[in-house]
Amino acid sequence: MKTSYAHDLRLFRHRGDVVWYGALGLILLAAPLLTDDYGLAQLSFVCIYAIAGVGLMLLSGFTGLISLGHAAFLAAGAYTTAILEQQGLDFAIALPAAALVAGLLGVMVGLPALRLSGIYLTIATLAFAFIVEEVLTRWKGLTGGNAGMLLDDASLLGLAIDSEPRFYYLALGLLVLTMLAGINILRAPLGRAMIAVRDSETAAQAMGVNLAMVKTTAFGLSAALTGIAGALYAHKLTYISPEQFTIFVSIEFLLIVIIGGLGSLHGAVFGAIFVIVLPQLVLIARELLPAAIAGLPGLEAAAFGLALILFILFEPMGLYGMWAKLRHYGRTFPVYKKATFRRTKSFLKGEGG
Amino acid sequence: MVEFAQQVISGVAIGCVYGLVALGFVLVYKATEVVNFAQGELMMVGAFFAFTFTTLTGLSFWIGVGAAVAAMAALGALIDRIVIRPLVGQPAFAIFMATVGIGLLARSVAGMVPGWGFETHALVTPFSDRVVGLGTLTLSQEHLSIIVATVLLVALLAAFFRFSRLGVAMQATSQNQLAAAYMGIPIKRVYMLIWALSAAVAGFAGILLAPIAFVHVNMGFIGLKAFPAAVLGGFGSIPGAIAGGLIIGVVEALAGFYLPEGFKDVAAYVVLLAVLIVRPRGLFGVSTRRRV
Amino acid sequence: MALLAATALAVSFGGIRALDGVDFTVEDGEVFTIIGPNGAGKTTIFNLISRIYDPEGGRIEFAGAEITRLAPHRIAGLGVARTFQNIELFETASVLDNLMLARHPHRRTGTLAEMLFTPKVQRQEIAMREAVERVIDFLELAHHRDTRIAELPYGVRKVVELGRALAAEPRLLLLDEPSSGLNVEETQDMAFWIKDIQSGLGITVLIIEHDMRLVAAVSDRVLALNNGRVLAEGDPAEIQQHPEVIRAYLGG
Repeated sequence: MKTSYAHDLRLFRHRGDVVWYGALGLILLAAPLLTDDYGLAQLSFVCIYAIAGVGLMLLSGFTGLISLGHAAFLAAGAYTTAILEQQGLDFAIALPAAALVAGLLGVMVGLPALRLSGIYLTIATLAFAFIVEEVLTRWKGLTGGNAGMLLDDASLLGLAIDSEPRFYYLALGLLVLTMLAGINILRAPLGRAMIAVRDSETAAQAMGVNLAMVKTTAFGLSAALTGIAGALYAHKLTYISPEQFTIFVSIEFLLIVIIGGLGSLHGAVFGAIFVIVLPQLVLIARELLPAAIAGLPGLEAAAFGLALILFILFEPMGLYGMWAKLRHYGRTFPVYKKATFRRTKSFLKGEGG
Repeated sequence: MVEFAQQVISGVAIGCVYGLVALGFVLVYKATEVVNFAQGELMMVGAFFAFTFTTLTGLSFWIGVGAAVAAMAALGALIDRIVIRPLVGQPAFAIFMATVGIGLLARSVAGMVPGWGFETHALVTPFSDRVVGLGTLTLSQEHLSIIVATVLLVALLAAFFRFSRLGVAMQATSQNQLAAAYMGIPIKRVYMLIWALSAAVAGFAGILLAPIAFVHVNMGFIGLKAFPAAVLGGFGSIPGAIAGGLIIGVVEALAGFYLPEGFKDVAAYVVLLAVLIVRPRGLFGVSTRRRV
Repeated sequence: MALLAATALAVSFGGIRALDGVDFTVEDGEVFTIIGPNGAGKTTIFNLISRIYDPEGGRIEFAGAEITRLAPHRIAGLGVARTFQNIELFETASVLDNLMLARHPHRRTGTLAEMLFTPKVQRQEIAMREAVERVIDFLELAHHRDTRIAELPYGVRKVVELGRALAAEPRLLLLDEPSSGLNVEETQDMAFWIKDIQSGLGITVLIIEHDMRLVAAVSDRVLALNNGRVLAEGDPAEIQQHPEVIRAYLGG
């Protein structure tokens, strides 16, 4: 029972949540005992993608600024890490630097983007990402161009992150911090301001929200988080080249936030899980399918495309939406109303939405 | 000077292709406010259809091309019926992402079709490998045919929109959906036909492009340049789309010739950003502000 | 003391003169209503005050300071809050979050502090919450506190729109057609609230309205507008009998 406003601010508002998250936390901490190196590597990738997912979710899901160019920020983080560590710097320095460089890049994109709205903004981010990819390819002196860059194991304040369990804990820890940062923002004025900017810029401004500040902050924050993901990404792959930061990666990120559930932080995690699990399912499917189909390349991309279309058609609230409906069903049984989650449609041109 | 003119002409030729893809894209946007991310992929599929109907099945070039365009029209109508129409009323972004999904699907499925795959194919046309001399310039017939075909198609479309009942109905639906509905125009069917037309134009562009760029699943990337072209032209303007395409094509060609390596690939996007900074709504775009 | 003073306001939209030299003042503590046929320029005046548009000519002063060209997001901090004719609530957020956003000008914490959810941020949240709950009580919205706007009926949304403006604790409240879409009972509630806002909360109210009974019930002074120009100004009784006003409304 709630007895104070402070109660509403708490991280866990229902006592049941503490139990669920506690159990989840224990399982995650015990993962190295429950699975092998391959499984841990997959979990690490989920963490990396989830961190980037939270970054994109804050910008596109909560502030409503759709970015098709987030691979550029991933690259910024990855290359900053590689370059600094090549000079012998510790990961404890390279990581914040990666976040800073990516964040500054985000602000750089955000400022001119203030004048752009809707699809123009999205296309501008797309153009920006193409240009960054080209710069990475041509600036051979800094990035090695198409030959790419190699990375050693990360060294965190002297401790070598040279095993899957260690890397996994690093990634998991950073994901937890990222989620906390995101949750905190959303229960504070900045988070409310972001949602306001998404839902009605006019009203937001009339109520004192500085649109420029909020949008630029959203871009910077989103890019910085993606940069952190990039730093981890670089170490996980141990080799980076411009080819790993193409528009497909940007689309993959958008896939994460949409299939995960636009407008919820948990959606970023669900989406990341989906994006990592789906190729595994395709692998399994390949073994079951007749050889003619199984040998075809491009099955993963087809699966992603199909999944995206199906989710938008039938479950626009994404995986988190499905989860929320299930939970609501469980809580309100047997008076559950199917129409609770029906979305309002807008039919006139220019009505926005 | 001769080199410059050659570059400009080849830029104009590729610009025509960009312009056509952008045109098909703007057709759909003007009518439904849907941004079709898969327009480039549609171009790619059109090229593959042409390749299939001419080279693979041995039909005569013109019949094969006609069949390909017809097939594209059918595909466009199908996409509208199955994916777009159920999403009517959803936020614009959701529909946009659905087209992203269509693009992903189209590209990967194209890679899986027997005979298509991820290799490069050549489309044999009556214009291949022939040149025309024009004063001191040597024009490839392919470039020339692209430009001529584009001019013809644009003229045909202009006449269609102006003088035919269906064309006028499409214009009406684009401008004011409610009013058009009240006038008895079957909106859903008109939308489907607009999608069919848009896909057919995209396919046509693919057929024009194939001789210079070869038929390959990555053709869609070339089609991505339709975005800068459409934005340059202002997104709601059909002549603007062509103009935008031409500008991008020429800038690209000149960048490839005069600037260091790599500039050519991003020239289109640099131009796009430069234009948007100065004119956030494109060169000819109109500002639509919500009345509060 | 004039809280708001508009002098020679002029603005055009694509060749149409929406406002053509409009003058008026709103005294501190009064309820001032602007009436006029559709297209008379009433909402345009609000949009000039909110700084959604720039005027081509004239000036606006609030509490003695000129705000004619002030940045739009600074108006709220000065103590001006408004509602919108077509309701501009944040659809995906709850009633509570909509009202909490109104406290934004009182934000004293930065991005970093909020990411860390420092004690200062927590205290600020509770303070904002307490202010907002007072408005929820006043408008009897407690039942809908956690409901998303998208799920609320129109009548309740109108009340939330009002609540959001009140939650800012403004000195001047702009209400754009507060009774539009409301039934008789809801309109009566609105009248009571407006009177309460004036006498109980001491807020100056500037209203755009069509419902003449509501206008007569709450207004201290009325301004009649037509085709971007002032027709007449006076108390409700005078205006209702003014020949020019009658002609503009009834075309006789």
